[in-house]
Amino acid sequence: MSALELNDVVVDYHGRGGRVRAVAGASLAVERGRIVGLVGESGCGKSTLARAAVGLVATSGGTVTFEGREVTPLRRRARPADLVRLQLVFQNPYSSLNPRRTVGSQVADGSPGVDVAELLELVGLPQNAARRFPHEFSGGQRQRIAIARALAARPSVVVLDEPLASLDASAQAQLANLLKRLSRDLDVGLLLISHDLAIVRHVADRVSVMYLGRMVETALTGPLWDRPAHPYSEALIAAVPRADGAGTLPEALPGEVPDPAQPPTGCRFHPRCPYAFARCPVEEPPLLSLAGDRAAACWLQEAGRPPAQLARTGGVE
Amino acid sequence: MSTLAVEGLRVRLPTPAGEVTVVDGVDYEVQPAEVFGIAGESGSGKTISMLALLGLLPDGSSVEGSARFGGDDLLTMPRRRLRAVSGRDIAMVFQDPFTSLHPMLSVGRQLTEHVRLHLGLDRAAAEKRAVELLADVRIPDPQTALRRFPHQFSGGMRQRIAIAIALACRPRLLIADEPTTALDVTVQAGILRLLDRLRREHELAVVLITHDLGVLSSVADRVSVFYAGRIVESGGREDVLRRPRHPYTRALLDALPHPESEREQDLVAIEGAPPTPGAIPPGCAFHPRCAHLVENCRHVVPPLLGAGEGRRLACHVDPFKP
Repeated sequence: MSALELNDVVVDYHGRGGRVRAVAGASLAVERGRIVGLVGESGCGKSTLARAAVGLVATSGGTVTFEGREVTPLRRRARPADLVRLQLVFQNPYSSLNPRRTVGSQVADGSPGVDVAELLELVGLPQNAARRFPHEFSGGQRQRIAIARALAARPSVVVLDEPLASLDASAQAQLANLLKRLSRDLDVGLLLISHDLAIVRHVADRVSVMYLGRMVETALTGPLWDRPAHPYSEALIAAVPRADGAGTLPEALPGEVPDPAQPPTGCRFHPRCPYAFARCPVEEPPLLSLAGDRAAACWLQEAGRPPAQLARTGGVE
Repeated sequence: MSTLAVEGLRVRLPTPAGEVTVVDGVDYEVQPAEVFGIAGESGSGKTISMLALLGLLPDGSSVEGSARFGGDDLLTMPRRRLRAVSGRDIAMVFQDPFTSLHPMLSVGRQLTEHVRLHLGLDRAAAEKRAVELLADVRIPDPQTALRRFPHQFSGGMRQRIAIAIALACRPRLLIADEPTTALDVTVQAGILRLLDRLRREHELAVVLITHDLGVLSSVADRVSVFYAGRIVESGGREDVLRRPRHPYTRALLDALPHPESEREQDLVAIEGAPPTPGAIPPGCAFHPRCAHLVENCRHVVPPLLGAGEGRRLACHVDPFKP
């Protein structure tokens, strides 16, 4: 059994325009010591799913279980004590750290008696960091502080929402290496939310690809990258610009992420899919289990078989 | 003839702790229909060096050097004239189009106002031009789009609208500062393709500022790498990105996750962090993070010298000389 399991989770937001289904039945599992990447374009529901995973937003369907017990949405009462081992790190550490309190006191928050010096060393910050304030640190260092604070609770799973976005290349590489090391050395499971497929490829053991509230593909990172089984995964990979000096333009995906309040009929990706055929606008493909411990929701794939090769198409502007 | 020629650009900004040098002697030229890429981490001076050309620095800043644009020097031009030139012949596109587009005015109003002001067109002609511009940046159904407001468009479409406004007066130079940083990769790819077509069709010189070497690698013809307010290496895209000679350029490239590399390997991070303006190390600013330093690097600033085939390099050691 995995430490964190999300089963067919549904999250609705209610606004003036009526109900918007941000997550429309998505499943995911995170084991201790493993890193799962969750990728997709903005508006695909990945951050909402991350919040549902730690009980920050209420689910309208499905279950979230952590170490065998159900994660219930946070209300006014205190969070159950066991859930302290499930932690969340936000994208912008500057807004989640208190500017007027020292780093040391914030890392020790909620975990009295914790060895702050050891935690700071673990994330590669100098000893004297404990006495300093958040503004004295760079973006990458602040993200380390936020991670140290999450680790203070001795978690078995940490959910990280875009921890590497808005960092320069060198800080990003340092942090990516740190996450891999921490996950392995401390036997912590990481759910890494990111829009950057290139960095996820380097960090994650497994990747789930989300589109308009649903998982469209999940696979081990290497096989997913080498042979994406869903046209959307393929499009995401082809859009990553490569710094090889070759002057090759990345492939754009036509159209835009549709309004989740009015998802397309059939396969949600069909209006943007270069391979769409008659069945796609009519019938929604289920997430099919394919050979090689992977799954994809596409009518071009057959259950139990190795993924069929998708044929790349020319570029659009 | 080059569209823009910058020489010896130095910028000092006022801070509570006194004047701080942010750009320290920068030279480059941009040709028509060329994308000139400026790469560097935050705080390297890449954005400030552009704002300086357009007179957009805060009061109390000081600027030295020259920036030849056409027959004029942007840095000594009277303010009124610079305002006219920078609205018409030089255009800018920023990271977040939401801050450059007016939220309360329709897209059509923003486009037509701009062309009427600078080109003196009447209402009907201005509207015709606005439709052409939106079609040029591939906004679907441009007639309807004119009557809509910025918040009714996605991030990618807003950036296309910002580019349409930038192109409205047929500028000769477009400065794009991190134009795709806030966008998804799938949308970014579309904007890069758009920029690539526009510069060819409009003979447009483009200065593309970005921290993303992958972005530069896809559209830039020539690349210069900024570190601590100076150019440390510049040259043709392939030379600089495929065969980097400066230890910083090489380290930046090594820090990136390459799609073809072994994923089990750790990324090669650069130790430490880039220096902040006001606390730039003496000698070569990169020396505290450099694996190849010699004694000279600690004391003497390496000049940016020609290194063959249009490449320029500021390094005492040149450890990757072929």
